[in-house]
Amino acid sequence: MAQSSYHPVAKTLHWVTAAIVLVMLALGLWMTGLPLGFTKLYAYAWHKWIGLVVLVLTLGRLLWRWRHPPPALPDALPAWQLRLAPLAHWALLLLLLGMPISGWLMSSAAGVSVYWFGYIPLPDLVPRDIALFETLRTTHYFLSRLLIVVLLLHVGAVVHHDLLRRDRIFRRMWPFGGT
Amino acid sequence: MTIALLSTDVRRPTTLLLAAFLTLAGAGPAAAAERLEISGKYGTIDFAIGNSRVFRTTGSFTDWKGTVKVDDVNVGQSSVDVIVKTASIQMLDTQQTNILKDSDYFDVAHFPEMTFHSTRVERTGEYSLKVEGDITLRGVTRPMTLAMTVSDRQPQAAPGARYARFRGVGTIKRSEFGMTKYIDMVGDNVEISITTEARRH
Repeated sequence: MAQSSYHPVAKTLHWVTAAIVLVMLALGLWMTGLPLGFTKLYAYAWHKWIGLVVLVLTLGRLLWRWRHPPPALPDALPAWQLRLAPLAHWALLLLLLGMPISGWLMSSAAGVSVYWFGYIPLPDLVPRDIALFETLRTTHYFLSRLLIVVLLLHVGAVVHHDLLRRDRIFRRMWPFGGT
Repeated sequence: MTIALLSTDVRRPTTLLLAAFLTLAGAGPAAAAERLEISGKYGTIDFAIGNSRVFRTTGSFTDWKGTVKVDDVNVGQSSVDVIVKTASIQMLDTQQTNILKDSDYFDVAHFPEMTFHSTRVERTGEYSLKVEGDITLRGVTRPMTLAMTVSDRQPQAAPGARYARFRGVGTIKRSEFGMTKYIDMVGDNVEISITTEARRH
């Protein structure tokens, strides 16, 4: 029988990323509206620091995926789903790279170097350039909205497969209770 | 500042002889000094606030102008003067811009201008200078030193044309000018850099 579930490492990476991304989206949506002050400054700092953790996790997932391809989808799925599922997964992975990279670039273009968690100095990817900063800020904004849309599609697919079709697709990633 | 200040011309015997002759003849300063104009049209004044690793921010002024007097024969006679319209401050977003215009920081309604006047110019290298001066901000005057570098000098530039490029960097403590809000979090140091073309008057 073909491999029917994701490897525990892939599951761990997926769920840790999922939790962090939800926190990051909430933090990102909340912090931009805050009045300038202690809370806002720290929110931005933590948003940058955690965002770069997502970058590392996602690079780790891509490496893992390269060595350990995900289990094949069952042939019983409708053709459009067989085609759309990998596209959506790749879109998510690319967005999980694009979000932190555009954020890091944005910080560099603003002339603000990132000290990861206040300790590790990270290089500036581009020199200070306010026009570029504006472009990157718009890019970061649109990528975040795109991420929300694809995530809703992703969660919608879970509802579709696990609650409506009950085809065990979601169980391949579920961390508890085996397959 | 003069021709020697910004280039190697003075090392040419003819230039030295000419300069010596002009100085002896009492015509030196008038003949050797160049008056150059700098402004926000041809350059930028940027600054970065904070020595904190957690938070730092940057901004710039877009409306400013100044004069650079270049005296190569007697470098000490050179000078730099800059006037900055504080209301032209631009931070990374409107919220920050408005906060910095307000009374806790630049208080642009009461102090529309910030100025720098050099008090001493010293040559430190072939293309570098130390410019000591006074910066006046929010009615407070404090000393400030700019480390300047000069590039792309065109001594033959026509009036109105680019004569050289200057870049000066210096640091002030914002607390000395009464701008202490968020100092614990963001830090006291403000690194200022001015990068500009200088055009012949």
